[in-house]
Amino acid sequence: MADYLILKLDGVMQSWGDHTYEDFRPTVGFPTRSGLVGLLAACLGIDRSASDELTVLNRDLEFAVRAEARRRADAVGVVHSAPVVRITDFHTVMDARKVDGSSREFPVVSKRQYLCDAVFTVALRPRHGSTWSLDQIEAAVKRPVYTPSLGRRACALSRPLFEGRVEAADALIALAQVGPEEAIGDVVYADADAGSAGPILRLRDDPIFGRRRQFANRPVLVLGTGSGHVSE
Amino acid sequence: MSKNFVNFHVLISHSPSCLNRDDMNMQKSAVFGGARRVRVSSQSLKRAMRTSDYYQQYLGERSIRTRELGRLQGSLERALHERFDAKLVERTLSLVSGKEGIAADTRADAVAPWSVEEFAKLCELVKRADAEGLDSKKTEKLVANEALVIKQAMARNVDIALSGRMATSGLMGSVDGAMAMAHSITTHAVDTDIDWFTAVDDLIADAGEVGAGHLDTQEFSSGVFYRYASLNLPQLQLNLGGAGRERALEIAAHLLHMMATVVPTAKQQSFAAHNLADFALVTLADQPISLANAFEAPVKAAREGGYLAPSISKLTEYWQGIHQGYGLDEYAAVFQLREQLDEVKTFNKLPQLEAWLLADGQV
Repeated sequence: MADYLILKLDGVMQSWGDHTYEDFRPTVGFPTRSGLVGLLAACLGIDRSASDELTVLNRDLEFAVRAEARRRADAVGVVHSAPVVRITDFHTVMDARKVDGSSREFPVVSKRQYLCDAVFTVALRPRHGSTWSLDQIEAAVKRPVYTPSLGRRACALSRPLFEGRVEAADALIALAQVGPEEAIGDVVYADADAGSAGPILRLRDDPIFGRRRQFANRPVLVLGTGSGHVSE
Repeated sequence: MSKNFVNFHVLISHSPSCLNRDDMNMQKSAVFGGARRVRVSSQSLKRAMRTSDYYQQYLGERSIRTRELGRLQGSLERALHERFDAKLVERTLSLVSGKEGIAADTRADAVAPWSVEEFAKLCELVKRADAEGLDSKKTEKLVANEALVIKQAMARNVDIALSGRMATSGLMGSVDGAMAMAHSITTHAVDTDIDWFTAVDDLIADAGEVGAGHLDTQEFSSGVFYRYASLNLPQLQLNLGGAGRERALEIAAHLLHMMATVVPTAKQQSFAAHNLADFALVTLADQPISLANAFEAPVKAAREGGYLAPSISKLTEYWQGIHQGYGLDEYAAVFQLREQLDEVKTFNKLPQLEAWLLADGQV
């Protein structure tokens, strides 16, 4: 049995950066490892430039993420779920000032994807020999040092991150103890060492902290009975 | 115990308008609770605030946001010609941007906000390094050691402390913004209208002929928008080079004013949706939490019409719920044009809520 910290990631918009090219900034359909580590580092007050501390935090934590749709019970108690929608924001940057009396001919354009109506439940636990305890992380998400957000600064949290603590044999069992009831069969994306067997997805989202943004591959288990997962 | 975060929740109703568009000239939108909402992006709101008269009057000079290093060099030389010679400005800009030999058309890797005062401080340091005959590695070290002084110089440009800066190369320091501004969305579902418009050509009409000089369409809509932002006070103090909490609260009060009064300028010559907020809830809290879920079920218009009153009720009810449900420990106060609320300190004048925030919620 292990102790798990359960977090809920809920907001109007979320964006978990995938590989960008030519100023197109897509989002993965669920929180990336680098996104989650960044979120917790912000809560703990670890500086962006503290590569060693970030490396340790990244190494020490094991994640499992359940991807849910936003659900709501109507007046007669029937639960409706809204499908997750991806939108693309057309983002322009213009020179804020005419530097020499004339302005730049064209704005700088980037297209940024966001997830709408997405909700995620995260189960995390420290790996063996971790420097961080769940108590420390729990305290940090309840009183964050830096501003936590859902992948981008403009993606605000719609509820506190902290959901609870659960004792369970593995991450999937831990998540099965966390409501809403309708979400219990939803797809779970878990670190491959989280215990169960299942199809493996390879995701390049394991951050290598240092001077440049670089990522290593990570095997991700796709679990659960939900139909929400769209294979590559 | 003093709180780390200020949460700003503002409801502002706009008459027909088109405040933020995409590359198809359509209104920006988002899907929330399965329903389409009209959206005003975070970047659009921030820019409207940064470029507002209010900002200029109370928060001073704003940064120069550019990637045009050649042009920037010219304007920095002009701004600093009494203090530094052109050669030093050029050398410093080259070190800060990490680009050798800046020509008229040299561009940085990305648009970044530049602070003239910060740059002047960097010029001083480069001058000192040159006088001591330091190589570029040692110059870098010297700059790194003076980070606090550089931040204090940059504090003149509050927008960098608020919105942050991502430095990509050279000696420029990155700043983690203290403000997090959400994309603002309507509290209700919106079906937009299309305005089909024509331009009458006077001379064609005078000749007695039919036909217009120009035909086009423009999407527009009206709606009640929920604006949310959070401000991390200790982060802001840090970004301003160790300013006191009073200064951070002063900026927070100005931010509240702009959240309640500043409107993006897009298409305003033809729509004039110059509206002010009816409602603002401010909390001093441990966590930056948006109350957007108050509107996850899109607000239905009141029986006699109108989205504003039901939006205000939904927001206050939801805040009560989440506040009690999660046992959040926060100070809260409301600015509301009309009624009084029983449970929470309510002001009918915006400056009174600003004063409450300025006093750290202890009035």
